[in-house]
Amino acid sequence: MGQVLSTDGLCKQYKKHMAVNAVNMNIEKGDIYGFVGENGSGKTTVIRLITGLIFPCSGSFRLFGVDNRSKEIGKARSRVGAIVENPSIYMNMSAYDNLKTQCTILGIEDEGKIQSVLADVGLADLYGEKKHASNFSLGMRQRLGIAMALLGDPEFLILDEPMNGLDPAGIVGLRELILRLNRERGITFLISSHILTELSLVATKYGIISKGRLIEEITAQQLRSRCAKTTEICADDPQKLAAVVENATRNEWEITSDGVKILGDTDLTALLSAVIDSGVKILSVHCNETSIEDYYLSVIGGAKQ
Amino acid sequence: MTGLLKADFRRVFKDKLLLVMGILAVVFALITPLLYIVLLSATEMANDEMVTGMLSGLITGKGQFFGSFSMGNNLGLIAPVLLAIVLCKDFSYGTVRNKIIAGKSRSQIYLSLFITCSAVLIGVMLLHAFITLGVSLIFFDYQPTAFTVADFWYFLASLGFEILVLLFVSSLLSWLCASMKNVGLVIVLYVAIAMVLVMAGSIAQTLISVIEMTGEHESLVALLQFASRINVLNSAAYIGTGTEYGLKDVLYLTIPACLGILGFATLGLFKFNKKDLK
Repeated sequence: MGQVLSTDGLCKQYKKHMAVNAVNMNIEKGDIYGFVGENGSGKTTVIRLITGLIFPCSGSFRLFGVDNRSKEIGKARSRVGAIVENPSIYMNMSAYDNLKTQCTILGIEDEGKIQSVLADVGLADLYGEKKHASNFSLGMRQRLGIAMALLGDPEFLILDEPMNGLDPAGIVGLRELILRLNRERGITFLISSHILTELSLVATKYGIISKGRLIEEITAQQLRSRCAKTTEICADDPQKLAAVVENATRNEWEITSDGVKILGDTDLTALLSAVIDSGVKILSVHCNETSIEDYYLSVIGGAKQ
Repeated sequence: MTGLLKADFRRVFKDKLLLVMGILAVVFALITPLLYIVLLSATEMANDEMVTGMLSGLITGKGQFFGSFSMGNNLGLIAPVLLAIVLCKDFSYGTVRNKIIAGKSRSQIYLSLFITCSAVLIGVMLLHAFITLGVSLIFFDYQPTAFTVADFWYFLASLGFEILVLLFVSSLLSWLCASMKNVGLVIVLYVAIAMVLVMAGSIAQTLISVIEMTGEHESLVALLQFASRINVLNSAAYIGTGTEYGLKDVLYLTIPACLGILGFATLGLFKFNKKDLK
């Protein structure tokens, strides 16, 4: 898989405030990268840096393998679609005129493209409609912004807080659109959000940012395993306990200093019977379950300390 | 670049403020010659020879035509303000981001802004000037003497100089639009700069007339004349007011304007290429 974006010590400072501090992130082709962080953590600043709206103080990034300091960066950027903070649309124009203007910038002459992207975002009714964008709801503007971003058939789509202003049906629609575009057209996504539960339904990889620093990059699989239910059995003989657990369960497990930690749901009654039968003395049993939010808070809590 | 230009023209033509500019261009063109007729008849009735004499140069098709390019009043002041509102929408709506993300260079975006600004301003001002000329010719002659081939070339040259002044205004406006954070500041600064330059020109002209009458302070007169001539927005005092241009006139009318255009364009490009956008 090719690398779509990699950043190397990316920094952005506003006067004395370090908005982005030595961020190193990697996005592979086909990823749906959930960019998670609290308000003011630096998510939008990183997105602005990548899209060329602002310039880094130090560090660099490579977009489709092209260095941001290269003259070819414009070409690489033309393979990107983005919504940064809020949709970039002319409020005094209709949806059609907005899309037509963007088509002109991109050199697209196919009129069908406008109809197609409007249908993609569930705004097919607005084709030919003269209503100005200033009269649209926040959700409609958001969807129009996504339609604008989709016009150039981007290979990499950056969506900054795309769920903002969308109603529940709109959120479901957007989620389905993201998954469909990723599956059918192989579009790579960078989605920033602080709605973790929603992001967890689409993301294949996460970047957790706090106070301008990228704290952790983790795959969805790794996150699931870290958030899954765990059962920790402490015993007098951890090695013997591990052998019993290996035979008694199909779950993943890991040995700890005084026992064994079993990942995921397990038949605890059967497992404990097997342990007792083996003669291992059980000292304690603890069952834990961490939600994604708990995990996120524990990660950024550690970062803040 | 062509795509950017087409998109910029498209958004300007979709803006209702362009229609407002067009309407104002026609209204001012109709009103101004009529106001002069009223003013002239009033001064004639009052038998005020000095005022009538001063007005006689203006009450010609030629005077009305070139007077309509003045950047200190009527459309000359309003059109750039309305145009700033239209052009700054790209920054206030954040739509300039679409251009950058589409891979267009900042220099191309700035150049497209400048070309669009210039074309629209020149278009609106020419529309205003030619309607003014048309209306004026109903009531007055083009000039007191017969129109010759030399007058035609003088007319074309004057028009060229007026366009140079409009390009100067466009470069100033584009620089302000691309450098400032909000449209309000752009308008305030533009009006302030334009008014200061226009007023400085008028004051210099008046001082020159007064000092010349005394026949003293020749060096001060020369200095004021130089300041007055390099003031691009005061060029209305020199364009279309005679019958031919000498080399000195041509140099005074082209060099400051060209330096201004180049200066503001360079400043604008430099600033826009470094600017962090929202």
